Amino acid sequence: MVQGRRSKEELDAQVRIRRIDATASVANTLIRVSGLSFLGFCAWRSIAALAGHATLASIGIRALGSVYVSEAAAWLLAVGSVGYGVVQRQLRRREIARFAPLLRDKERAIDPKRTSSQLTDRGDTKPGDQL
Amino acid sequence: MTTQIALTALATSVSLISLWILFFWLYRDYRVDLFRQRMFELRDELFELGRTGEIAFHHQAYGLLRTTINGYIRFAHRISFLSVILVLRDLKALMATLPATRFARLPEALQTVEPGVRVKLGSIVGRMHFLVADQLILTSATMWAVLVPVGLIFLSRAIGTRALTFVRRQPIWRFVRAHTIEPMDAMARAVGAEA
Repeated sequence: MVQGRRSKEELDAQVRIRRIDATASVANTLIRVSGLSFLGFCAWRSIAALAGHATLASIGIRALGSVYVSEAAAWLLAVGSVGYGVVQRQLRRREIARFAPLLRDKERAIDPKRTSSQLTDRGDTKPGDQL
Repeated sequence: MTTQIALTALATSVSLISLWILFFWLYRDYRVDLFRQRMFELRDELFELGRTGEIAFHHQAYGLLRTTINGYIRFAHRISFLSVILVLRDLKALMATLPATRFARLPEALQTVEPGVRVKLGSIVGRMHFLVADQLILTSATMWAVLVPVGLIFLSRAIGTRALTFVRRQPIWRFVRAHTIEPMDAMARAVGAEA
């Protein structure tokens, strides 16, 4: 339906949208990375403050000595939950890869001109669209 | 800085780094997948209208709506509050070219379908826009920090009294009252009675 030759207005609009898209994408990446860098800097300053005051072994012993069972359990729960989510996500991707072609073929049999969202078979963003 | 303070600062930094990664990478990726899943459900609903013959697959309204949903699915990872601000900034120039293109003809195309089907297509369009708004708000750190607490305040004001009346009728209310409200009230009375 929305295919074929593109008019000048369409091309202009697409270029403008792409420019907005690229600016937003760069700005969002900057926000993410600068926040992470700032926190990394804070961590590095904390480590620098420990330099000369304590050895790695003494820090380890002190840190382990002050860890409560409840704190350790909370950390274990947090890391375990993230791991569980990541594994479930991979499993879902594999299921998508298994069923998506079946659905696509069925729909194409009914509507031969069926258009696509251009995602990969696993449901990921197309590599060229990632920016 | 003492060693203990430095260790606490280090642990805090590591926790904040973890939260930052959780929100800006893991949670965002999850929201993108959720948004795409919901859009796929809308697209399936649209396809079903075509399959049952309520609207022809080659109808302009069908094609434009499907293309719009496909566009949202494809570029879901790029939808952000910032891009909306940039669109608003560039709105004049954008609108000067967009109405002339076929991308802007969905409202007109919807007028050409039967009224019954138009209502169904309108419902799909409405839900599609709701999903986009939902995605914009819940993936933006600024929106989370500002709008969500404000929304919760309004929600609690709207349903607060009714929710409290409902909770008061539950058996657990006696336990909650005895262990939280009554001690708090007693403390307030003690403080209030001080000269």
